[in-house]
Amino acid sequence: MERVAESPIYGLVAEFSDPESLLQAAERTREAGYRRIDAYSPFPVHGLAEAIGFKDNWLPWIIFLAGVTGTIAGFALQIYALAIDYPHNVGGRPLISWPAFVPVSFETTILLASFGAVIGMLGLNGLPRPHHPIFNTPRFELASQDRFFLCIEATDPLFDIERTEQFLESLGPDAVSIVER
Amino acid sequence: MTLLQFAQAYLFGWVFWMTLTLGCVGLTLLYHAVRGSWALPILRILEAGNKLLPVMFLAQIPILILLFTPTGHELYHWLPPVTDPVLQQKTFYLNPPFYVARQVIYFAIWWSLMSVLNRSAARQDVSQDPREAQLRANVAAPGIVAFVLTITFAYTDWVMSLDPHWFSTIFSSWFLVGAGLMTLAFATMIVTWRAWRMQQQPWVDILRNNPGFMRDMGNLMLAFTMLWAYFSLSQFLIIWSGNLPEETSYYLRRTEGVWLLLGAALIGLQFLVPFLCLLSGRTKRTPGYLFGVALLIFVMRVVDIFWTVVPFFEEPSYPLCIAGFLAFGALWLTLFAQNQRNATVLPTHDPRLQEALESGATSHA
Amino acid sequence: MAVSNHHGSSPAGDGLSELLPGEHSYRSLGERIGSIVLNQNKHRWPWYVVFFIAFALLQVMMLSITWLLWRGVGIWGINIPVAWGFDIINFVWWIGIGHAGTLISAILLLLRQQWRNSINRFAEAMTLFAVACAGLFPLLHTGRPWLAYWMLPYPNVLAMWPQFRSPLLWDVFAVSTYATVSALFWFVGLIPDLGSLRDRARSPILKGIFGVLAMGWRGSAQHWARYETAYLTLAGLSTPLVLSVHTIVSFDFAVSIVPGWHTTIFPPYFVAGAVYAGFAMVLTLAIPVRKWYGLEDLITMKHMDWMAKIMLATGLVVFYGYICEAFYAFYSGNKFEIYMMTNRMFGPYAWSYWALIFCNGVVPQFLWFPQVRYNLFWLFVISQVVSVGMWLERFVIIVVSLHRDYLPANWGMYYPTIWDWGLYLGTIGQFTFLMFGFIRVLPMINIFEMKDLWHRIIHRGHGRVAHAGDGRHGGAMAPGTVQPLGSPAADVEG
Repeated sequence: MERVAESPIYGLVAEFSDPESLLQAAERTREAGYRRIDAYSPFPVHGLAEAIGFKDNWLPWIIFLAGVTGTIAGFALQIYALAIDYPHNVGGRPLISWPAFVPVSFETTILLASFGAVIGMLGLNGLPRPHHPIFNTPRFELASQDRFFLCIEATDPLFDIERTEQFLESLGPDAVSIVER
Repeated sequence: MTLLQFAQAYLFGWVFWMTLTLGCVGLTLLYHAVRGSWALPILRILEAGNKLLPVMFLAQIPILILLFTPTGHELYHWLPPVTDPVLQQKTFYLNPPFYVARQVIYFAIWWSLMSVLNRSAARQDVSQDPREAQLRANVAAPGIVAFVLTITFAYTDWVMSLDPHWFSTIFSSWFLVGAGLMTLAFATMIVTWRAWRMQQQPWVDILRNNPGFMRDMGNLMLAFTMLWAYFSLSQFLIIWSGNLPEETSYYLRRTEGVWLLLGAALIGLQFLVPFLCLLSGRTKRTPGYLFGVALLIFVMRVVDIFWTVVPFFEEPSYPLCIAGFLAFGALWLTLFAQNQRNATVLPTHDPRLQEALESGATSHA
Repeated sequence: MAVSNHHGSSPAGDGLSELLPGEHSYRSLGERIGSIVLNQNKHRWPWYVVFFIAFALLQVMMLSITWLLWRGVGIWGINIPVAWGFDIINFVWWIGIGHAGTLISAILLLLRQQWRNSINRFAEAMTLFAVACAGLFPLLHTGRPWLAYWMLPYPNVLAMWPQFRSPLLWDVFAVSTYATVSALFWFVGLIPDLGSLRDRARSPILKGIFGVLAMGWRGSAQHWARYETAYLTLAGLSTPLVLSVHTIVSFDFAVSIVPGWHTTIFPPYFVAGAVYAGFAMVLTLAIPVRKWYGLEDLITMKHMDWMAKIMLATGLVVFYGYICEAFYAFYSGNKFEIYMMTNRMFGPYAWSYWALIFCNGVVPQFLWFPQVRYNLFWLFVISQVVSVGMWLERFVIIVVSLHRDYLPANWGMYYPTIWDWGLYLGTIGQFTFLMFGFIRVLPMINIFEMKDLWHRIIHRGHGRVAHAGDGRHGGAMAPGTVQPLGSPAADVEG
């Protein structure tokens, strides 16, 4: 592992011209036993995440817990403010006027859940990140336009420059390049 | 047991099953207006329900006759003799002949809409003529307008005027949302039960080959559950905050003693539990789970309508009300099953259904 | 009365390509949309004319606010009994307009309606700017906007807390949450497009700006997977949020006991009215912009038709609200309710009520006819009428209810001053100024979603997505319809 981490090579990247080829290539790469792979496309390609064997259920739970925190915090704030810290009779309403507390608690729920979604997504994705070795790939600026890339990372246990390059060439890409860190 | 108690039980039973009938009418209209393919597998179920309109009208006649007897006044206080000055102001609308005339108009509108749509769908099953679908859309879209308007007055007549001093402008739309929710739950229960417990065709295929169907039914129930909560909370919060005696009487009666428990159960079991269950994708993929949630929703609809209607009554007999609900239910479900037997299981007029039945057609879902 | 029609006939089952007709490629789509931002020479005289009129109006707003801060709210026409005049009318009007943006971006995403793709970015920007205009009014109406932070709950030396039982405070939470979540939703939608602009920009300065904003987005499949979850969840959260915002606005009125305000139908009826007005505004902006920038094949007549249909449907709900208000006022037997309704119909402000019925009850009925929905001129005219109608609705609800409520001794009339009009017109200027500024600096159509749509269109030719196009069926939640982002709608949270 030590040796791999110090390797100046980030991985091998194959370039494709359409999403179907990328999807097929990703499926075959995974079948060939590679595990540390990633695919890059200008728009979400359905099935691509499954094809590279990506599964992550953290985000829905982060959002859910953030939302529940929002509900509890909203109610707690209102009960503390109006019933504990400054109990005060307003129009004969009970100190804990729970029906009147619903709207604000609802808003805090949505607010926190939304922040959970955005911050959770960015955090799990490791963004913002100004630079990443994949940007060293030739023509990678087209990954946001109309080209599709598949990367087998050097940290993959099966990674071997020559054999992996041969394997990638067998997938019928437009180009294969060695990407350095 | 008095005649009044009997009438109350009869009215409660009738209102509940009438609401389910109207839910079938409403969803039929919605399907034909927007041609959403979510309703294709359940269209025959909705039709079997909406075809019970004439029976439900016949079943209303005893109530209409009652309006002209002395017991009627004990049920609907706005019936003559009216001594209350506020109620005297309402006689322009709340008087027996106009009441009866309105009922005839409602049922005439609903039944004519349904017969046009049901027949057109049946014709297209045979002829496959796409113009029929356009015809139905052209009838159903204005039909929804007529339906919502008539429903508004109908629930004012049937339920809201049980306490003629009380009024709430959202009440009829609240009933409408509830009707949609319970009809979706009812249809979901039938389909999932047939596929999951009875292993009946074509239901097994529909559920297996078309995961979008259960997801759509689940999402629709989720949306209607949220709408139900939204309408309920809106009415409650506005009346609670306004705190006017003529309005709060409604909630005061419904939060006394055991009624309060029922109300709390509604928050938990008509909203929270189904809401959380339906958020999960797994519920919408597993027929058994979806059946369970639909059953819970349907049962809570019974509780909710009980909680809404029965406290309007003076000294009702609760066992009798439950008996009224069950007796009407037996009649309704028998006739419904008969309608189902007399029709094809699935509509064949839309090519999308055939696609859905063929394996893998929606494998991308 | 053909409601769902097949105007502009196309090959059967080809609903998707009606939304993006003609020949495109992933690159051409990115270039067409991106170049409006990257190639500033594309902007022609209409942009400059509108922008400078808007800029002039913005100065009127600045002037109105300055004078207001100098003299106080006495320069407005508000009085007792009509303590809520133009300020609250305009607040509700603007916030309502914003709602169509959220509806298009969130609800239609959940309903898997592909036609939202080319208008959602535009509509979301509209939401943000409309909320910015809306927020000004209550803030200024407090009279001391520099003390606005008093509305927030924070421990303070006065040992006071805001009154959480008041709908006005709910508004503070609702509107600020709405503004925040809309901005998040908008920004999340922009991230991949900013990455695309970063990669296409030639000038290092632009590259730097877009690069910072894109936060290093690289389009990884893992990122897309989480991105889709987050985006769909935000849509799922925004949908009840947008309902709650206008519901809470309606509570501002409904939880009081003023006749004409205290009525339980208000929440759904306000929400429908908001969406109705919002679609009118989207059409008002989209009709000229698509022509000026030659986007007719991206924002098609099919889109116009859909928006007109939604306008019709929500307009009918609004009209249903008027019928309920009128009927139950008389049904109630309550003399204050009955007087309120009689006064609306035949009192000194009867003109506003009947104008309202004309604008929101009569005129939208023309949208039943496909000939009208497919005629840009009439669609534009109807949108203007609807905007006026929705403004009148708030006028009727606020001014006409307040000016004669309970005690005749407290009755009065309301006359707006030039400063009321100045601030109102000024915010229209601010809104247009921001909208047209936005067109120049950010992609007004979602690039990656258009590429995705194009992918679905050409991909279906290969027969993998069996029955994608359902634009023709007009069906909400059709099981066969494709999903815009490929994951099950609303399957969030666990």
